[in-house]
Amino acid sequence: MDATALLRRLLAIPVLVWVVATLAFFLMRAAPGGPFDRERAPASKEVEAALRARYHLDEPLWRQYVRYLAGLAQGDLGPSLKYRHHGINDILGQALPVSMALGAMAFATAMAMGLPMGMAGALWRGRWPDWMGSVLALVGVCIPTFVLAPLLVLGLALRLGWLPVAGWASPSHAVLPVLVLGLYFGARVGRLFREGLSEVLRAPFIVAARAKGVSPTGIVLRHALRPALLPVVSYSGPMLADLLTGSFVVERIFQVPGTGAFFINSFFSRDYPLMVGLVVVYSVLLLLLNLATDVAYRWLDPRIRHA
Amino acid sequence: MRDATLTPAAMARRRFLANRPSVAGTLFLLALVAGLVAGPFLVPFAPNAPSDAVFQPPSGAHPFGTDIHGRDLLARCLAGTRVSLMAGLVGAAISVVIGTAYGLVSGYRGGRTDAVMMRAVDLLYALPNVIFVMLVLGTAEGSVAGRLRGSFPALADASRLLLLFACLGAISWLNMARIVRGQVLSLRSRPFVMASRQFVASHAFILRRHLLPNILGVVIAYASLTVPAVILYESFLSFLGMGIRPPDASLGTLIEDGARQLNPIQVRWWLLVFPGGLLALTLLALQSVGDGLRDALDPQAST
Repeated sequence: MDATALLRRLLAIPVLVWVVATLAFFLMRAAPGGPFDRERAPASKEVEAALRARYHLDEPLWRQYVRYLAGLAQGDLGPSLKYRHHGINDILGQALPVSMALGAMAFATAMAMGLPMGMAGALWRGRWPDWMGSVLALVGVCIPTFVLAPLLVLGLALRLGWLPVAGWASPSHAVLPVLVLGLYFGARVGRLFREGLSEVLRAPFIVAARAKGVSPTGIVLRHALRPALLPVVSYSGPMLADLLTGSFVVERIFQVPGTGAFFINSFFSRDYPLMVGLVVVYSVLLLLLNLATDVAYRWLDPRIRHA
Repeated sequence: MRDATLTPAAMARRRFLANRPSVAGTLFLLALVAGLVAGPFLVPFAPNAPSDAVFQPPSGAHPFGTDIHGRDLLARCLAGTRVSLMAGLVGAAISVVIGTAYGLVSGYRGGRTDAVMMRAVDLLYALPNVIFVMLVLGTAEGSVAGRLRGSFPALADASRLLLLFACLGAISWLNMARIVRGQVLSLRSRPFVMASRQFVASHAFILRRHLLPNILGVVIAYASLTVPAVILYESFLSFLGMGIRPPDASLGTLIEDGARQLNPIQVRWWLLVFPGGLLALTLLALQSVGDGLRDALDPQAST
């Protein structure tokens, strides 16, 4: 990707984030109920009025919107309505690294599992490594994380006691959540890479390389690997989006102190700024990651690079 | 190419029937649907009726056991599977309508329109769609129920379900649009379409007569792959408590109930294994049927 195209994509990100923030802001406000409905005692009129005034909820909606955007432009996501005295920046500053660590480890696991599996499947097509990989991939695709996770807890943690049931205190706590998320996406990566590699291995330029006398290892590593990765890379964008939302379930089952719990709670407690803030942060992350996969795609595919 | 007298449809049928996992999946789905239809007559318990027989392990009276409120898990699993399958079918139907229309217009118009429309699809791909479903479900449910109560009182109770199905369809059309657009783009420049255009055929005629019949197979194949994807989304939302509301069941809420009963003291495996297994088997069957249909109807696709 040349510099101007990259710059254009980068400049589009703030615009998109603004669209997403606006959508989320108004959708959230249109939801029935308010953030102070569940105060400990039914809040007296005066208390609620004071709270609303403190968080500027008594102003007309358009002024709240402008105020929110002004904060957003300076990187301030505002105060949380439920976790009083905590800025959303602080809350996310604690929760986001946990979620991102989980996501990164799951992504690495998915690649470490899916790529060798797909390669074995393509190289020994129709024989036992292919067959085993296909079964594993089908299982990984068809058993959702929220079925696999409780089953693994039941077996490995409760029955056998090998791993902790839930929490995020030590590396051993990370094993099950990372495994569950990684298996799910590793299965998809494996299928895609198998299809990509088998297709590339039939291409004329591979036949030419073979005729030239390149060793089988050389053919796979030097000639076939890069183009075969293309389907995997182009799927990475949606996969990362699914990985982020999929981690809600996994975080909830294993009680990982990431952003997943805040997402669900902020929705039910009508914590407007927290919800919108999370949507905004997720969108920024996704847009950046998608841009990164696009750059990788162009780097891998000479047809696009030299176009 | 074995037999020149075979029609394309017959060839596709032959390819599909030669695919053993797909045939097995089809048989499983037929059996499942038969079970869902016959179930209410065979199972003497209502899915939402509580009883004193709490947490019974599987037995003759309750083949799948009972849950925390003494409800028969088999009856609940049947009701939940019905909801999940319905979500998948309705969602896939909606995604077909939106995706095909979008892809047809984008591919047929081509040029600038195509570039803009496909860029929009790329962007939508990158957004956390499920999150917007959550927002819309939370926001619009009340107003939709109110409006339905006025005109279609019978539908008002199902308003949440309808809205959920519609939302799921509305986020699942992106793949379909891309695939249809790709097909139309290559068909558009084929000689028979060119010829039709030479004879000043109207756009509507070309679309209806030449393009739609030619993309039908691909649309069917990818629609059948959308069904399991939508079911997965639905059970995911229900698992998080944002889809079907209790006491009604979907496979997602049943699995959530089962996962909540996990504790080291007493293992109530049936609450998790039966709905989880049912969901996994259903997804597996749908996936293999979809793969088989894709291989049979879209032979150019890889594998």
